[in-house]
Amino acid sequence: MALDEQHITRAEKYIREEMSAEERTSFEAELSTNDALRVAFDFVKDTEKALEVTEYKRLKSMLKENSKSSGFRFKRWLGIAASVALVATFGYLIFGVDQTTTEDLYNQYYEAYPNIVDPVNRSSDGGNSPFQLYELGNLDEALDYFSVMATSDTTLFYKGQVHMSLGNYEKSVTAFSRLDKSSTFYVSSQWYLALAHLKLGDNKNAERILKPLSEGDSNYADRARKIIESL
Amino acid sequence: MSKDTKDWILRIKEGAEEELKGLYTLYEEEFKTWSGAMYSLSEAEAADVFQDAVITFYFNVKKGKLTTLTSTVKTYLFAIGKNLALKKIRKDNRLVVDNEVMEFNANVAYEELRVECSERQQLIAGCLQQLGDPCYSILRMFYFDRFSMDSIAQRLGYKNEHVVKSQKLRCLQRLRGMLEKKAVNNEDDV
Repeated sequence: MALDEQHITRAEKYIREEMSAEERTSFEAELSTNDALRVAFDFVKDTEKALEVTEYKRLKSMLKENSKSSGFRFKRWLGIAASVALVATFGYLIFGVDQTTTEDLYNQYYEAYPNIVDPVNRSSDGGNSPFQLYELGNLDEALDYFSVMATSDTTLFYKGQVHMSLGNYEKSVTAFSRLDKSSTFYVSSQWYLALAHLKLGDNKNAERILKPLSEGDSNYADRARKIIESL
Repeated sequence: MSKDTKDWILRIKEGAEEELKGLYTLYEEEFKTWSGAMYSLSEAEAADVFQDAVITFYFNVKKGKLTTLTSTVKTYLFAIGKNLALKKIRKDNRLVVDNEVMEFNANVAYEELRVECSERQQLIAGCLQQLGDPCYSILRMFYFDRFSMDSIAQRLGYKNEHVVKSQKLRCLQRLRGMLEKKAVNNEDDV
């Protein structure tokens, strides 16, 4: 059963206590007779709870790292990390343990960034903007548009995305490098910039960019840490 | 209400996590010393309790359960910390001489943290981790931070609130699809 937008909106209003007493009573009565509404309500309620638990874990771990008593843990972790590095180095030297190639890493982690600016929807026939052309995979056409559009952080970011999708990694590096820290796309551009460097075999620059990402609290932190560990 | 209290609530409502770290660091040592003396908490236990107290404060602000305070943030945090510490030592059956400190018995109302969740909610949490951005950010900003669609559009660089709204619906549909797949796989494993 597909999720109905109206049912979701009503469920959200109910959960957030934004309904009048009458609306609440009517909503509760309808829950027992309308399966689609029940499905939407349960899903919204469970998603909200799941997000709460996820955020709790993330914040707890952030404060733990920030705690003054974590010095010991950090030192111990450093010790473990050093031992692991030592064993891995000897393992590689003695047994020739195979290393993951940067190509593998790129393939494992690269996923094109979605069009969040102007998504294709039911009311548009698609292809109304370079963002929609990108979403629909009309990359050459999208690139033509981006090339003549006024330069902004958004157009630069998506131009970089188009170049990546087309395999023009050097050009994507140029585009992503031009975004500055004030851009909403800055963190994402750094992630893709690192992936483009990886693809070009420039591990040194990839690692330099991944390091601050791995230490930050964005959604890329875990993935950045994993790539650094594999390099 | 003191200016300090109002500022913290506003800053947290705006979603500044760095502020949360700052708030924690500001009173961590004092809480450790105080809870160690009052409830014999070890340094690690005190840190754990105080982290939960700060997160409880954060969640209450985000959920709109806490909009004003009659005390300072420090009193509020220490009062929650005190309740959590008492809960902990009662659970461990530890004997403690409780010299009540009235200072931290101010009129403090808050919703307790409840991090236990059902199996289905755990599955959804797993799917959320795999969902990635921008979906995770949109859903988190809407359901957890309680930002308006307009605010999310501005924060994430969307054209307008309508675009965010349709993107959010797609994200929910995608999340549900992932959940159904996972549920089927789990059934197959049984």
